[in-house]
Amino acid sequence: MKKYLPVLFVVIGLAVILPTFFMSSEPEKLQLPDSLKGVFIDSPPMPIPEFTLTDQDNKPFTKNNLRGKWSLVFFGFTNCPDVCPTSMSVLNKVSKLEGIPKDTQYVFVSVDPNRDRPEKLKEFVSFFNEKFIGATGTAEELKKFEEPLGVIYDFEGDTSSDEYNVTHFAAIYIMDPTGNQRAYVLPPHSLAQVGEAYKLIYQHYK
Amino acid sequence: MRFLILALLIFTSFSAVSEGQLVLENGWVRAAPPMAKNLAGYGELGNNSSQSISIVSMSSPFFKKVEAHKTSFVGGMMKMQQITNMQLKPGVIFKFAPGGMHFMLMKPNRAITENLEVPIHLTTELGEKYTFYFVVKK
Ligand SMILES: [Cu+2]
Repeated sequence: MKKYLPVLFVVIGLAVILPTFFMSSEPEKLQLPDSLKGVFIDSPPMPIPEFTLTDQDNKPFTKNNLRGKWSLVFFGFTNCPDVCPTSMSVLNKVSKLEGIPKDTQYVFVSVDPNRDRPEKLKEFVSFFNEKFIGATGTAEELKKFEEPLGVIYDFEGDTSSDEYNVTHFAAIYIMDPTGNQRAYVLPPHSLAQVGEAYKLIYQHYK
Repeated sequence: MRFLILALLIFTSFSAVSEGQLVLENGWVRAAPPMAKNLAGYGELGNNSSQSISIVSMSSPFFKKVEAHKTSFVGGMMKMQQITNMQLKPGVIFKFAPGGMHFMLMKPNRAITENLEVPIHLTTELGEKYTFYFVVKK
């Protein structure tokens, strides 16, 4: 009997460790219905490094702010008249849906920090929803956040004037409570598309 | 006599309207935060006449500049471009809608508040002027 004791320990050990290992590992990748266009899931989530931006109240907004909650993040600039307001009002409607966590954060990140000072960000985001967060920062800090997400943009026109336009990647990012990218939704955005995608992704990966 | 001329003027202006016909339906401007420097107008612009109509300029008393723009998405990249040759063939309707074409309204000179009716003037190649009203809403 003594001879088998170590084996028994190993077996018991494995029986305890293996299930926790599988439980904490990545679930099988969610298959979305074909009717949901432009939604891409990261399995496993795309890691985001630490970054420090400034929010609409002049407080730091870091990767820590993304931890512990789901977040929907959109990059743009407040002078954008067509696409950004459309996506922001879609986010406002999403925030009122059933079946998604009530503590979801909605974050607008400006890629145009020269024009979008915190006061302006505050006015912009609160126009859509009082609870929305606006953030921006130095080019260097923005880059840390944007690069892994694949946010690219280009300033068009005279950037020393205030009339230039920003061509930008306009996806909505779904960030999981580890603060990493779980999915993104390509524009043009609609409530049906973003709402349904977020619901299914949250239910599957929560 | 004066009455006759007036009646004639009204008559001809009516017939001009039914001939050189640009029509706009469901015109609206997306309400924006007070600090917004650019707003977008939408609606369906149609040509009810039997001739092509070219729009050569646009303006609004409430804005410094008005242009027709088109938003396009290339692999998720949002790009905005001016439409310079706004020609509507007979029967054609241009749908100005979010994420597609819009009237780009730049630098407002007054508060653009909800329910306000924003006049936009369109001038055609033949020098005809049209004024359409766009209501501000969320
Ligand atoms: Cu535009």
